[in-house]
Amino acid sequence: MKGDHLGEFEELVLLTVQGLVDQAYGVSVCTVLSQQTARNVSLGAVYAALDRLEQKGLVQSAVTAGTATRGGRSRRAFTITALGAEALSAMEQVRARLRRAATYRPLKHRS
Amino acid sequence: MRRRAAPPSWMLAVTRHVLAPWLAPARIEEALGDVAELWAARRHAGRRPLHLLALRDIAGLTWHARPRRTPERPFTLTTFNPLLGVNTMWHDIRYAFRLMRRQALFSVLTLVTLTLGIAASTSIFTTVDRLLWKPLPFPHPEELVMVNDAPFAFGNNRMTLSGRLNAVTAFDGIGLFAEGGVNVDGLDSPVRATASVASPGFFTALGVVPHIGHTYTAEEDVAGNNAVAVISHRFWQLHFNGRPDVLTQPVYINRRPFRVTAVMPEGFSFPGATDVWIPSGADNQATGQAFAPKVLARIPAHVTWAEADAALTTLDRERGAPESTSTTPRFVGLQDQLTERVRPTLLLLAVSVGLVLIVTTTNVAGLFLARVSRRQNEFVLRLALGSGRRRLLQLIATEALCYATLAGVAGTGISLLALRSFAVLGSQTWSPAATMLDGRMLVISLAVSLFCAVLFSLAPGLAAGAHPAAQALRGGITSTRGRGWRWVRHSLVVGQVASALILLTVTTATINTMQRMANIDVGFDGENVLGVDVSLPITTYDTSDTSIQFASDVLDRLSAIPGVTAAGATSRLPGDSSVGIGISIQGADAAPAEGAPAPPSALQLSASPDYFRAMGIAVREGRPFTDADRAGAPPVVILSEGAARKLWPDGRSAVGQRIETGFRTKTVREVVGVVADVHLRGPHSTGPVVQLYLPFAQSSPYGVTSFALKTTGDPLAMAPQVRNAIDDVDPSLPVYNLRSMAQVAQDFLASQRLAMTMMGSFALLTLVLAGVGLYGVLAQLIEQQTREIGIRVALGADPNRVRWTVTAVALRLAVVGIVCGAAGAGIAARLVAAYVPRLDAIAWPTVMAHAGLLLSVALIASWIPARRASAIDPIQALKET
Repeated sequence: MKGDHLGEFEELVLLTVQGLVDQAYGVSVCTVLSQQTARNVSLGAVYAALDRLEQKGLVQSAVTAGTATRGGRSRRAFTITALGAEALSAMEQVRARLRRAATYRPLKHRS
Repeated sequence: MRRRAAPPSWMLAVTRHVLAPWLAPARIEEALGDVAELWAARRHAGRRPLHLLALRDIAGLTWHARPRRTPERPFTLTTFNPLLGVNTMWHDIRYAFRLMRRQALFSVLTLVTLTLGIAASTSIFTTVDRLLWKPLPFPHPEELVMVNDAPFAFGNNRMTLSGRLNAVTAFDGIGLFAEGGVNVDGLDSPVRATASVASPGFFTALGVVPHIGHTYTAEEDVAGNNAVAVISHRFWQLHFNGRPDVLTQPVYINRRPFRVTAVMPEGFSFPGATDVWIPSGADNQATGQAFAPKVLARIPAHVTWAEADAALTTLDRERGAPESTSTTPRFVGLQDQLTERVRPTLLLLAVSVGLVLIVTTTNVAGLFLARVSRRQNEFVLRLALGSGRRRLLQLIATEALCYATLAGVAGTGISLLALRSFAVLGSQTWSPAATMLDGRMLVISLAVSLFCAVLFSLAPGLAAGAHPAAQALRGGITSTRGRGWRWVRHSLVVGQVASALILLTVTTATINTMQRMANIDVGFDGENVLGVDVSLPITTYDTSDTSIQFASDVLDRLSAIPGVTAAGATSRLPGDSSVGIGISIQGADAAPAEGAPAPPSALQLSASPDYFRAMGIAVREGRPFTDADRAGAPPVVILSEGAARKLWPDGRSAVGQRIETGFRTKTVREVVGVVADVHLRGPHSTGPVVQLYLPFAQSSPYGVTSFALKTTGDPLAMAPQVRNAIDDVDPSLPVYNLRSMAQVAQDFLASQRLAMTMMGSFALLTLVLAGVGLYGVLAQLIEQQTREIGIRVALGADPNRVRWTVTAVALRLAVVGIVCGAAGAGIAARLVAAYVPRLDAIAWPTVMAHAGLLLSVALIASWIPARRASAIDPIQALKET
């Protein structure tokens, strides 16, 4: 079932990848997420999510050359795929609908 | 202390060691890079946090890098899944049927209403389609025209198409034809066949290719060589078992051998139900007393009617033709000509049924609207739970379709039965009526059903979700609906009342016309009278003596049958549609004054002495014929009242006067009696009835001899004895057309009666529907205003006053509807007068009476809701909401 759905953390990671355009790789995604969600995001969790997303076909990766800070070690740059963008917008609509419904929700039932 | 920008090497070594079981070497390198990068980024934090964070990163990487038991499947978007749509549709259908069962009364009401509407419109539209619009079964039927008032040529004792007309090149074939009948012998038993006289050009113009053989040519259409015939596929199968050697064997037509040149393709029987076609002049008896052919031509698509017309007039001028008629030919499309007589009735019915359909659908739309507003809470909840507007519309549309489908099936079944009664209309158009289920009819009924479904699901669908969801969820919708929707419902009801009034008015006019016609005395009494025809071929009955002897022998035997009280012979019984001979008559004693109007023309009939008694034709003056009025006796004549009035308008007695009659040779005859006018083709035939009867013994019929028997019991039960009696005299004659003359009289008005019945039931249906519609609106109103009424009652409102408030709404709607309907009836009256010439004018007093009827229907419809309103318990009403 997971193949059909986007988990909450996956969605956040996917959004971040989309936001970082060509600067998305493990550390940068992890850093942005930590800052934006104000919670400790583990690098391992980010990689796990990125790998899942890649398997689902929502992102794709390419190995690029490393910088000096990394001791010249290579890194994988992630980019969002068309399917990924579509999934995000579908998720967006679901949320919008739910939010609309939520505003209609009565605060209190009459007896 | 200087902070290092890179992690210590032991940490990298530990990392590599820890990750080794989990990750591929390339990933480990990447992870090391990440650790280094993060270390560099956090280098301003304290020493201990720096180490702790790095260790946590490494641990996290380990944990998340563990192998998965199930690999991830590629992501699939679930926003569009066609199979899911089918599932929801199926779900909706089941839901619709559940609701249907739960609200049985509503469903039955809706289904019955829809079924009646669909049945009525399907059968009418199918008939209209079949008779008026369906192309005739000939190639390019739109090119076929009838040439009315065409010139003819006479020669060799036969009538042919004018040579000039034949020479017109604008036509792709032109030919004459006339309907009649022939005796066919040489088969298992003598057969009377429906025959048509047709010239070779008739087949050329129609463009129908024979099944086998060739249609006779112009060379075969000359005297001496014209014993040729074309037979229908049906006749071929029935009497020749479909044998191909039919073309080589002679067929005896009126006892003369004919050669069959062709068998026409299956289904071809034009005109009417013709089985045998012969050239004109091949047998003069085939068309009866008179030969009055019609002319058929094909004007190819590249020639306009105007050009063809011009070609005719040019020819007229050039030749100055001796054979020309005073009138110029004119073209009428074949199909228009064929349907001329039924078109007004059919169009009237089509318009009425259109009105019925509108009333039906608006009514069902109203019912649905009412129900949807009751289900408002359900819909709002669905919307709130994320169902889209489109999804809701789909739900409502599916329900509507379920109803429409059920009603469509039932309606189609009913209309199949109804179509049988339309056969009478078809019999007047030379084309078979729609009595069978065919693709076009299915398409029509499907279209009507779908039209209904769309119409009545649209309004409720749009209305659904018009309310803010929060309000609905908070406490249900308690307020009256928006003004806009109430306005729609009210105008639906107004439209229904108006339609009912229009239909009632037009129906009354139809019924009045019908009654006026039914009251016209047809001049004969067909009760217990059997009519039967035989045709005496002139090859055997070559002198009038032989045929007179035949008739007298048959009459002797017929009179001897027990139960027969009178038997008469004539040349033409009422209802016979063949063309008769008109001869001029004038008083013989007074020489015609100079410049006097041309002598009147009268239809010549033969009658045996007992004919008037057998047919119940009243002898007004003088005497009927006697056996003494035989050949050689003094020539006598009996006039119809109309003829007597025509000849002696001053009212003096006709008996004893002498008149001069005759086609070529004039005979002076003494008038011995005056009998009632007989409407031979029904009371609606136009023109005065001018008839004269000659004694059968002095003027034997040329074409068909008919016998009429007055019996004491069921006349048709006499049929075998009658057949035997005629067989006794001449076993080789086919005996045909055994019919009850009472039925003939009935059939005179069959199509009018059908129209009246249909209109009447449409009007009644609309009336009931208008009542139901009013009831629906009021019931809904009460339901919505329960709280308001409850408050009023609680505050001490008089129940009578509450009742009146409700009734007033009904009356107001009815009055508006009546005003609109009266205006519509005025317009309808004008339209009807234009299209149905013999229809009575619409009388305003009857319109007022119908208005009164509608008002009382409105009162009745409002009674139950009004009572319900006044019975509202205020406490309950306030608590419930």
